[in-house]
Amino acid sequence: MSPIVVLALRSLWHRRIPTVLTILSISMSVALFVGVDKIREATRDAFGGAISKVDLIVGPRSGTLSLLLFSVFHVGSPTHNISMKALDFAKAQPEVDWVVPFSLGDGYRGASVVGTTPEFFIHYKYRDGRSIAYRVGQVFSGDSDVVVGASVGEKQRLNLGDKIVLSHGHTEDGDGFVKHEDHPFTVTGILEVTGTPLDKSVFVTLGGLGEIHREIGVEAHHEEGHHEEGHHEEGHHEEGHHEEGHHEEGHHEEGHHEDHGSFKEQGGKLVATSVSGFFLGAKNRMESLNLQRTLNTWDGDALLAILPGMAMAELWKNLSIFETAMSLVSFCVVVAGILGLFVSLYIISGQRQREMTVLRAVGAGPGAIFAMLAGEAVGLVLGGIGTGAGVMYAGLYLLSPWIEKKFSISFPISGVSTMDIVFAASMLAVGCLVGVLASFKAYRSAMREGLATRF
Amino acid sequence: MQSLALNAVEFRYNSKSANVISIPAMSMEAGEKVFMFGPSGSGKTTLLGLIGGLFLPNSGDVSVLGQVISKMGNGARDRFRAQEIGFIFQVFNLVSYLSVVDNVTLPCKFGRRISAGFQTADKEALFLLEQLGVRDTVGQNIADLSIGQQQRVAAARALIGSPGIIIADEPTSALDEDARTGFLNVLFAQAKREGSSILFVSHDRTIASQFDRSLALSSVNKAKAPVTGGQV
Repeated sequence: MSPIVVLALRSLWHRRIPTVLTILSISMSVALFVGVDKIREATRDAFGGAISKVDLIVGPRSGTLSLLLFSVFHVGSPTHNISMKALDFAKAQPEVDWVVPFSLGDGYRGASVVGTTPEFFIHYKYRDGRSIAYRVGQVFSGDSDVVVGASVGEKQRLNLGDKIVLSHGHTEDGDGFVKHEDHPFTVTGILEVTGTPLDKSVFVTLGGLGEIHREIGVEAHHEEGHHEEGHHEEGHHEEGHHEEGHHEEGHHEEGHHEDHGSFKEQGGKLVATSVSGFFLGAKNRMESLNLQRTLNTWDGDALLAILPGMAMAELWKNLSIFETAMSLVSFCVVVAGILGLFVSLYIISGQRQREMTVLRAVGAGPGAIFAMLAGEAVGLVLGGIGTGAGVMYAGLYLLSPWIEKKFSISFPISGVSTMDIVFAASMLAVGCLVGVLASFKAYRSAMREGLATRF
Repeated sequence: MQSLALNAVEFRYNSKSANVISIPAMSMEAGEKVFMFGPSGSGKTTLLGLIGGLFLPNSGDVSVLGQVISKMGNGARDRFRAQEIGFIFQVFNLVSYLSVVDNVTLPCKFGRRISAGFQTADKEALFLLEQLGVRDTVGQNIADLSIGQQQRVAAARALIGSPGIIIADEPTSALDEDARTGFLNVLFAQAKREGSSILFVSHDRTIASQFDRSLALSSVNKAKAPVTGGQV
């Protein structure tokens, strides 16, 4: 081994405490930077991965973002509902492969209740086309069955067969306004973690959703003061309006029915006559734009069909302040890390002037001095980068299941990002720069200072 | 043969300052022990830097053992210093993370050959440490050695490989009288055995009589600009 390498290693070992502290300091910067970057990436992925393999989301005509937010993220509420005729119209289009309706508006201890059909679990995908999977149990089969998302199951410690009571309305931090205690649901399935809003949702049939409003709907309407008692129970009345194509009145009715759709009695059961919206899959994705135009120009309900991908991009663009803030944090971490590294290495090199004096006196040339100081600096930086990245990735590996369960944010152990490489290269460049500066200074002045040293 | 020759050497730290060294001529014979003295700021340290090839003169030539080191390239000058010039400083002579033997053999790692009769640098180091009376320091931490012991270990390092010239910059100023006498005796004995010249700079003129000759720097340096230690 080269004597310079031996000297450098012995020097590092001799200064092991400041060496370890320097490596820790660098590794903390690296871990923080990689962590912030991963959070940014994971948030964007979680956002973008909330829906996949759905070609169109169709709902009442409002705004693109509004429809996306309530249909996928369960944020906000639809302005009104759309009739089942709209669903039938969509199904009748030859380019359509599948249609899955959904109704929203109720809650269960902070989770959103989604009224839908079993096909939802077949067609609705998330993050690069992953299918919804069950941790335990299976899809609902009756109107008193419920499937719960992973976070709901975990948080409420639910097991198969447990009975739960849904609430009318949905609030973020608890139950809604009125509990549907007359119609408890039995848990038949608990989903695997998806890292999407599905985790914080519970799923019932559309009929089940109708059942819980059979009685409570009256109270709800009464509270709102729009109708006399009993009107809600006569679901056919509002349906009549739709059939007649009186949209103004229809909207008026649906407004009273909140946003969970409306129902009519049919063979002793309540069936949906309107829903919050539906997801649509085309036989050929290329047909999505045509289908979108067809639905948006239908002369029945005032519909809005949106392409999820484009709507997601628009939403993320609107939320770019978040990315900007995260980038700013990353930038500050980089600056602080690099400054810390520079100061740390420069102080260490300054403290070694006498050592350099002796080495120069015994014949060490500029190359040897440079190799030693720059090599040590680069070694420290590499050690710091390796430690920081290792700690961060190990932490992600160990903690990601917990984070995914707790926050529904998935941290896939992805490869090194461009930002990570830029950051590591910057740190290395600073290490080299400090090494060069220190060795230049040592070569120029160490001997003079050493020779001139006096008591 | 001359071990050292300066010819019309002038040196200033930057182009706007006055000369701090201006020596028309100065020389030392091979094996000679020269005591150089002068007040603070007279340029002693700067002169040692020029002789050691650490500074280059603005004009004139510096020759060591017949080689004009002021005309050598950087690499050649560093190799020449490793091979032929032994330095002993006033303090902080040793590398704290190396053992006593490794400190002594340090020049050999940068190109100095070991003296004839020794198979390895370590054997020569142990011999020199024995001769200098600090053989028992082997195995001790550098930080645990007294100043006197450190100076003797530094002397062993300067002597290993029998360099042509030893430059000592006030190596005895931190030693008491007994230690100083003992140090000089072993240094002289070993330098004589190795055939090395010694240029010894000190304020302490009471030891001047132990050298072959004394030299007041002011008698050779015609520059008038004061120099302060480490000002560069």
